Amino acid sequence: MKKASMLAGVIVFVAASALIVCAQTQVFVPGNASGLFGGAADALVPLVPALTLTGPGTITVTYVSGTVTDGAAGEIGPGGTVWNIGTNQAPLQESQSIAGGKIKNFNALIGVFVPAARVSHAGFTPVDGTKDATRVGIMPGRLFFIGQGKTFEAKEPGTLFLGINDYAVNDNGGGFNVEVTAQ
Amino acid sequence: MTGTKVALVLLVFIATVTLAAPAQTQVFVSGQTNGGFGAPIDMTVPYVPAAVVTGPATITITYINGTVIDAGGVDTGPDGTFWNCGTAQSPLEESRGVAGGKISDLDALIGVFVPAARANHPKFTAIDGTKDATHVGIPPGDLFFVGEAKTIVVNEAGTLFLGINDWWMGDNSGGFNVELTVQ
Repeated sequence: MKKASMLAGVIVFVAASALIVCAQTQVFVPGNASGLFGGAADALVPLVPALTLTGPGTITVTYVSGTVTDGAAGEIGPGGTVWNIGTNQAPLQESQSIAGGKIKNFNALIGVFVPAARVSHAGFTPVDGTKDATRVGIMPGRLFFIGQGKTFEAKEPGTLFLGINDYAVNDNGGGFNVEVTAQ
Repeated sequence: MTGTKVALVLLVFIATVTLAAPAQTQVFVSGQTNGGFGAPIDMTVPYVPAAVVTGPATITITYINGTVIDAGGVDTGPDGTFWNCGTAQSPLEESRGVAGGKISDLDALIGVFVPAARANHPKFTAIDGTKDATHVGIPPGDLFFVGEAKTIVVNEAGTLFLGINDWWMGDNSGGFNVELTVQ
């Protein structure tokens, strides 16, 4: 085998190995990280960047520990709790363009995968892009429920951000420790 | 041919002619019709229902006449005008999750097609669904520029709504007369 061919083979092997390496990280998602999503939002706390992919991948999000303490609803795990929000709007409701009434995932762990083209855009902040709080933000329609855990396929490079399904977060404390892996 | 058969053939003929004939209507879109989109907003004026289709259809939107008068000497047609939003957000910016800076379509004629399942919901209002102003609203990501004219093909029953690409409406007046054709 010529040297050039051997070198090419080694490069292909290394590249393939890099693709199947499993990345793992842990992040803390504060109880007030709403990303300004929802109606009547009272604090601008960006979502937490959890993991960045440089290409297609499978991301698994797993709740590890912690609770969110809400001034009104008490102590809540990652699945959230039932709550009547009146005429307000939770982030996951905003993702469906609905508002008000009883929800079952108040203060739940939520996430959003944002393509690299948007994340790397000048002026990007991981907050609600439908408000005038940032030059470039996140579209609410992309938010999803995570709860205890979730695995999803990302078809392109980008960053997974995590947050809390609440809108009035000034009276929130605590948060969730979360493990994130990518393959 | 019996009398019954003749009647049946006539009915089929009439039905076919009815289906083939394009439905045409005209609406006026007030210069204050922001649908509550954009930020910051000073009022919420619901979008104008322009055409209802009961199944797949082709809708053609054609500007007829009229202008929107706005602050700063703006007197614009349906394509809108250049404007520096500063840090504010126009409805079409909101549809992309961005805000601020120079835009080329202030006060332009814009539209959105809302599927029947949403438009016919008893709690639906034709305004921004990402704010807590309605139980069921319109997702901003579906907004599109119309300008002088636009033809859209829809794959399901629903309603086409029209509005103006501005967020601050207290200083707006005038509006656009628009013709709709459904085939």
